[in-house]
Amino acid sequence: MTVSDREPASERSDREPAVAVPPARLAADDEPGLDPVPAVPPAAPRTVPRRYGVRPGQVVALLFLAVIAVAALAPGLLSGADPLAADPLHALAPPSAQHWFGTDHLGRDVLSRVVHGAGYSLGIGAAAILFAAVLGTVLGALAGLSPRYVDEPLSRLFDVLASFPELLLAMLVISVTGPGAGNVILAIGLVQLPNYARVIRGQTFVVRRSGYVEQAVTLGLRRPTLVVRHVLPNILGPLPVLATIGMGTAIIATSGLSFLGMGPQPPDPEWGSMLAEARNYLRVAWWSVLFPGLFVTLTVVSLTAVGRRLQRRFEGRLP
Amino acid sequence: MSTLTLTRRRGLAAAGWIGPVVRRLGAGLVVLWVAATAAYVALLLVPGDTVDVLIADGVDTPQRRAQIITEWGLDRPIPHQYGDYLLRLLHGDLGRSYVLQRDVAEILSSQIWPTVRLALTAAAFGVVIALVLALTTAGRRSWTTGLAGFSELTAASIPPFLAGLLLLAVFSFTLGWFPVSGDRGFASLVLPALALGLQIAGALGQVLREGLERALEEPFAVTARSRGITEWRLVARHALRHALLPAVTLTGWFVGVLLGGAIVVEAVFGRPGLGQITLGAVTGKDMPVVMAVIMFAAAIYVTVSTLVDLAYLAIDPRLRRSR
Amino acid sequence: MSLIEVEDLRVTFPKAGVEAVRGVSLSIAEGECVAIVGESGSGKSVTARTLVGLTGQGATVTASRFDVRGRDARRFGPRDWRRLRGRFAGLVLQDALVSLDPLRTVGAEIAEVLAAHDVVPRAGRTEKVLELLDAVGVPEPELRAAQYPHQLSGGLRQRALIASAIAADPPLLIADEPTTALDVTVQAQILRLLAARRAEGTALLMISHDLAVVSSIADRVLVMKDGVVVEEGPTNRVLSAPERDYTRLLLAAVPSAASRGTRLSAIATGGVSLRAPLPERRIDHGSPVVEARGLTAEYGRRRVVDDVSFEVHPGETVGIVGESGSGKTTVARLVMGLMKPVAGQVWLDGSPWSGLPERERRPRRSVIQVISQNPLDSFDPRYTVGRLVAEPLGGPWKSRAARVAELLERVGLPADLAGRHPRGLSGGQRQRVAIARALAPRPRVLVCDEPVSALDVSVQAQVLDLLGEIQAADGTALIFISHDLGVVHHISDRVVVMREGRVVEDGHVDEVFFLPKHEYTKELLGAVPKLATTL
Repeated sequence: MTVSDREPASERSDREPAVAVPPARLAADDEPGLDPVPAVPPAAPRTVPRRYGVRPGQVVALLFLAVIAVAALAPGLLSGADPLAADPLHALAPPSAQHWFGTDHLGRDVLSRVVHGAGYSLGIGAAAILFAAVLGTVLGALAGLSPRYVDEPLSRLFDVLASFPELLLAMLVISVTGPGAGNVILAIGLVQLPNYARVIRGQTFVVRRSGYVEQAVTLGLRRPTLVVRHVLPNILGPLPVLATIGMGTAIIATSGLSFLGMGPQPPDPEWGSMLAEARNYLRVAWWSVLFPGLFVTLTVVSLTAVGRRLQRRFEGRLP
Repeated sequence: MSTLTLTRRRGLAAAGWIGPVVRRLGAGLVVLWVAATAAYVALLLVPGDTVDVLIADGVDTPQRRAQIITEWGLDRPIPHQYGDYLLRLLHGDLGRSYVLQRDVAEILSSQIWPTVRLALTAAAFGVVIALVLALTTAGRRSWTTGLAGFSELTAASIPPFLAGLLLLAVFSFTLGWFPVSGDRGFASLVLPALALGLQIAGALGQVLREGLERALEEPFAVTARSRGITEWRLVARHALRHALLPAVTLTGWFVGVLLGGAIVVEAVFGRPGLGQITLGAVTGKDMPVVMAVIMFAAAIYVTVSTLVDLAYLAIDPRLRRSR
Repeated sequence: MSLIEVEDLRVTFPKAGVEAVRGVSLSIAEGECVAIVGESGSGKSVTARTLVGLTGQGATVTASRFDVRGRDARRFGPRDWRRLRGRFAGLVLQDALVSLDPLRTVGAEIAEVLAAHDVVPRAGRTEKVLELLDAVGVPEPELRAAQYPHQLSGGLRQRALIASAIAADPPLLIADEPTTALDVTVQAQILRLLAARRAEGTALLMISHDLAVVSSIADRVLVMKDGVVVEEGPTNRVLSAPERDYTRLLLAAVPSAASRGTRLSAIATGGVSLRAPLPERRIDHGSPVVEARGLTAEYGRRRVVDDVSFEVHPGETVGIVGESGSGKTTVARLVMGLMKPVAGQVWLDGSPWSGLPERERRPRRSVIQVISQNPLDSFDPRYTVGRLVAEPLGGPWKSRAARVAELLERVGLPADLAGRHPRGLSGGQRQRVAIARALAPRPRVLVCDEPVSALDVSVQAQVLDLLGEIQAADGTALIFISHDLGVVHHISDRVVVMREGRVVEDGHVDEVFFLPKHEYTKELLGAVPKLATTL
């Protein structure tokens, strides 16, 4: 029903924008019965394989993600201060040698809260993506491998799910379940699910009709062998790309829900809820907004940059 | 053929438009139905007695309970209730909010315009910024292209509420150019619309530039250049249409971003609108309003995606033959 | 005065580290037809595009002389180039499906040239467009002008592309592989059209990989290799008495009736090249290994193969020729048992094959293997060369290494290629990998579907020789599907000519090709450009 369903047009939108937009790289309806037009000897100039050196931007992104990962897994290594320890005497203190990122309205160390917040944001994002990717892959592959009467309702369902404004859909889920980290995971996972399902379904079509699967038939492979050896691994190919870029989207969504008070509840140092608390002191303590905001944004930028690099590699643009 | 036009043949039937339009409208009805069902299932899933859920924080009297039971048909079996609910929707009856003591349709229609104004302004900002960035930097390998790319990536990665807070800090608190909150004239619309439009500008800019760059490398671009046309004309007459195709695909997603983003941005800037209604309804568990907002979003989506599909047909003649 | 005078032209792409053109000199006089011939990567296309200032981004162009109609083009700015393009030189690229903007009507594309150079006033443009379409032999110009490229057939599209190139009546037409993607009969029409333009006084620079295409039309030929002109001279002289080994090698590599039973990839030494014979083949005329009777296939309601019958004996090569849409690839799929015929039957080794359930066919699959036009499509993208070749071999993976090395050696690939990814290989190497994999289960029949169509002529020669060797050594039967009549004549014993799903004519290849009975066969043969060479 949407253009990203199965119209040929969607083939051309083979690169998504930085944010995970409902991606659509689906199989073309094949036009059988035509002999291939004799291919043309390419008249391109002789090319030396181009050297794709390590780009500095990629290195910075990966380093930043490494720091964030350390913060999420072992926050104590990066910040000794207690993220929950209030110190009203030093509330709203600007950045200093003692508090690099300053303190918030309760005198808590912003750096320590940002570091400890990484675990919430990344954890919720990763869990939501895991949920969406696993369920989405299963449903997408099911739709792609099933006869039309199973595929059709399933893919309509994906379309409808994908068609809702994600924040609204997440809010609908939370209006049923109530706020909290676990419910945010469920909400964002559900919102992201159709992305995976649709891409995997499309990929299933592509792989099923591919020359190499046909070739495997001519080699006399048994069907289970063929599916395990050639179909499944190639269907799963785009998952790392989707998951990396989707993680960025999930972190944005998580922070948005927390900002609205639907995520982890104070005093937990989640980035979005930190921002919600800090906004009232925006006029007097910019640092309590800037630093959590900077980390949200840089994390998403890095994830997207790395994801796009993976995507280019997956599409065979890089050796 | 009496009159010959070299650009496009008129006549919907001739160009094969009718089939696709009918098919898409049918599909749109399916979306609306599924949305209504999802909203209904959500209502049933909320823990507790449905009458309590519907009343939420509203005044609880025996008369009102009786009224709700009749209105929603709660004394009858669920399939029957569901059928009644769909029928009421068909008649445009979205129900009543017992928290706000008003009909939901009335609430929505009174709050719709501030949000629509915000969303349209944001969309305009986003599209203009994206077009300017893409058209001025596409196909030129220089540092400006890299800078534009990075700005777009950043713009697409900032959550709208954060963009709003940062804009407030700089332009309202520090420079004092724009009002901090409220809905008083265009000046109060600029910052919220920017905060909301940035994400669109970033995502759309990337897609447009990649589309332009790809189109400029196609063989038809070489042919067009070999005719002696200017580079600007090549972009305007050839490449831009190709670049628009993937961008048009994203329109539905943009609408989602705008609607979802409007909720947070309205909260940041303290603006009236659907966002406040929705936020209040979700936190106050005012289910009739939540359900109505869902239906409203689905209706917007169906309208927009049908328009998008028509835009597709208008841009790409290869899709017009109906299969 | 010459239209174009270039000396020591050099084009480099510094970022990619490519020297595409290394010192080419070229002149084109008014009304002259010059051809540049070469394989992929020879720099012929880059040279042609440089002449109209369309080398592309990131290219560095230098020349000791670069005069366009007496003006020094080395000083040209973008605006000078723009004025020349379309007005001084029109460019025709291959395959108008992608060379015309798919989102605009054919008429709008042609009118664009008229507008850019203000050839006719705005009001007269529509009429002029129709005139041009008529001039290039497009019937019903009004209808066609309002259509989009995808609505036109390949031949009409190419004509429309030519119409847009000649719209501003330029004295020079640059045609870069103008007929490469076309069927042979359509190719003949387009060549006639270009020849007619030439007869009217337009100079022509023709770029092609195909010596035969060029030989009918060009006054002079430049043979390019690796960015350098290897040989240059009047067409007749270059084709009949080539002075350079490379030219000789190219000419010798062209398969034809004369090359039957000999190697194409002859090594030219000391100015003489001898056609070395291929090893002798033995055809077993007993019972056929593949027998197709009354094969009929449909896609939806469309009948794509209609009552096709033929048989193939061990050691024999049966060629199937036809233009696009003739159903020859569908025949290959039927024979491979990848598709069920709606009527008719294929027997393999004397027992039924096509109608069976896949479970019963599976154990016999090793008997018949396939090689396709684009081997990359048939390779699992995650697999290395070694794994691809090892897959059909039985037994534990580790024990297969020796046999993989043996197979790679047999197709002329170094064993250390086993660890590489096919994506990083050349087209010829990929096709050899495909052949090695097909040979792995020791098949008795190889179905080759356009196996050399995407390859350069010298690489094509090597692959055809390799197939000949394999056939002689193993007694493999070959079903060889191709649109190229020369290739089919070279390799086949018997030939089946197909058109629109039906067999038009079949028989011994010499009989069919020298004494065709059917009109369509005659038309096909008549359309093939002949290469007048003594080699």
